[in-house]
Amino acid sequence: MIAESPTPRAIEAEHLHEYPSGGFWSSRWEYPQAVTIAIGLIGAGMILQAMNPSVHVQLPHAPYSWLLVFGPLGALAVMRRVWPENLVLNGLGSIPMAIVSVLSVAVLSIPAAIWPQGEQAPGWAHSLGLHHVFASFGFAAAIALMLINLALAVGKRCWPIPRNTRFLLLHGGLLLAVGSSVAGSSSLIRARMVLSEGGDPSSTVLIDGTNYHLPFAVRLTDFRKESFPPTLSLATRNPSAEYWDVSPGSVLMAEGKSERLGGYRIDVEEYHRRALVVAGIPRETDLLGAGPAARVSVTDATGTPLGEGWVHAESRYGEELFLQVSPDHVILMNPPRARSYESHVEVLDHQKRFFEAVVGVNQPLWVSGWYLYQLSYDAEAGEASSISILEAVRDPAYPAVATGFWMVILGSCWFLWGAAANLSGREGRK
Amino acid sequence: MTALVLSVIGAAAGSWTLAGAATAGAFVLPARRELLDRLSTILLIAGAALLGILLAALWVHLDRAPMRTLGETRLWYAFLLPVIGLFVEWRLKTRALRLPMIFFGVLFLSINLLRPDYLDKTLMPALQSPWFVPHVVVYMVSYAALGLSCGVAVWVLAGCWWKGTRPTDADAFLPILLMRLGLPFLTFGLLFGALWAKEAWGHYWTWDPKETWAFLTWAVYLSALHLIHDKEFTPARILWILALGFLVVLGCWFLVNYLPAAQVSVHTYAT
Repeated sequence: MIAESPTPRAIEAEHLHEYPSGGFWSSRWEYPQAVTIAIGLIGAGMILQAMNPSVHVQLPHAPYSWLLVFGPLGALAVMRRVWPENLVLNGLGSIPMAIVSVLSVAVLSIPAAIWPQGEQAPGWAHSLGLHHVFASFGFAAAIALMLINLALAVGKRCWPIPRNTRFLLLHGGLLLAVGSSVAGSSSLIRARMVLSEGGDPSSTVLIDGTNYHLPFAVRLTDFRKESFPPTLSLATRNPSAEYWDVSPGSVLMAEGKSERLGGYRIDVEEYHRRALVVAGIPRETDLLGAGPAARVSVTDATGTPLGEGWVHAESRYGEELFLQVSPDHVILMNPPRARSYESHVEVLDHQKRFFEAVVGVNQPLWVSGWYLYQLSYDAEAGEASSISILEAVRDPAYPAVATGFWMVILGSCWFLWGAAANLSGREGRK
Repeated sequence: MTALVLSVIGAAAGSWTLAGAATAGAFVLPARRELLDRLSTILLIAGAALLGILLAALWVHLDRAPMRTLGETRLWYAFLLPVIGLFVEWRLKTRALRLPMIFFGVLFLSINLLRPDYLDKTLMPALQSPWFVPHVVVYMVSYAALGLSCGVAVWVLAGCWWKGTRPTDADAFLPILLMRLGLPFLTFGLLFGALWAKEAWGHYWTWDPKETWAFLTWAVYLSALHLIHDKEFTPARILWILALGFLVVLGCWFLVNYLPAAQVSVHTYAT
């Protein structure tokens, strides 16, 4: 079909050995054998899981987890090289098994694509032990099957490298990424740090009910949050029920701005970035945490004035103010959305070096083998939040996982180049 | 501004509807085929140019990449369909992609017309990353190629059913080629997302519902790619997989937002 050479199947055919035909397991393994093996392994895992719904797959800590994952996989790759005619190794490393194993992982993940996992999972998922499907024995079996297939495929085509570079980048990269992710899962530590502005340096986090001492200490000196200006919405009384349909806001508020909501034109006459509401009237203030307020005038499609008044989203410094423009329509202000938030911290690392740094969203801080991520803050206090929630993550497997990712990306570029050859006439068209 | 946006989208959809009429005319009037084909191409390019200008204007007006909402991604998709489709048609000297381009383009623009997006300038902090634009663009390129692959596969299957014949290897060439162009971009999207998630949240993969759907999509096309090399798989079967595979793409793109799992997804900003 595709004029690309050599195809994986063609290469496989080069090394295809004739096995005595007859028995189901003694002839060359194709889809029936692959499906049987997958059903057997995954089914056994699922039965085991249903019998022990609260037990989940847990690997030992590093380095044993790495030995447990990559030891057998490496051995299988070598065995495929040493015994290229072995029926079982060829069957487990075949394209049918590759397809069946990938689809097995996909099929098992379908429930989690539809229903939530964990405590929010539906009852049937709890009773079958599928409320943590990705930590279930059945899923582990499917992943194991996929890794075995990848290791055997890599073992078969690991030499000569120049001829197989693209294959090795794609399959070896995937093997490295998934294998390292599995092996590194037991060494992954994630812990939340709740820091208060000006509080004591923190070096202890709570993980599963026990105190864990970090090799560094962090002190929050300043938490900064900026918000977008607020938007306005038009709420319409629903005739059939006692609730209001709220249309999304659009224009970011500022003095002199105007916009159309529904059939109304709204002009912002006055705007306070922060307002303190006293007796229903917003007054400009510098208080952090105070919400914005706008005095708006509303006219209908014909230009007839319908009203004027203040709108204000509820904040710790004032109640919500809205403007009723008709019995069925209300103009209201949406709370401002976060534009950015970041923590200014002082850090004492494991070598007792002191430094100042900033942790922001998409801007993690590396310290003493850990990454600190900006997670959250006191949402109720908003800009006035003096609390910052960071997450400390130690993931020693990540460099290996990322290397695998980049190998796959490189291999995909190469693959794309090959596919594009069909467009440029570098390869024959059919 | 919203009215202006809707007018431009309407003009692009109208232009492509006329392109569809010209394409249909080329089938009916073989004598005028060349002229009508050329007209259809011009109308397709005109619609794409309108959308390109609209996207650029939105980028400036919103002060952020217009890639945050489902409506904005639909605009990118509609824009990329003729960009990719016409390029492939030009290189392969074929007109086979004309109807899928027009069908999906008009369909997605119509959804935007029926459910207009509000022009929200806000962009949550997690999306303010250098990964944002490449992540969305490669996904849209991939979805466009896979959508076209689906469209041609359906067209070929319907044609064969009508004529009572079986699809040949040559029939399957174009849908498979489009899938082979789309799959690497799908992989880029998946992995760019993982690298970005690591930077933003500290974990590259959490089986979030959107990630799970992204994996399902990738698994389907990865399997299809391997099946191509299987002698036992006929062109008809592969065409069926490519035709139905796009449903999984649509599930990942839209359906996931309406499923019970969406309540625990960190990707809810996409709705």
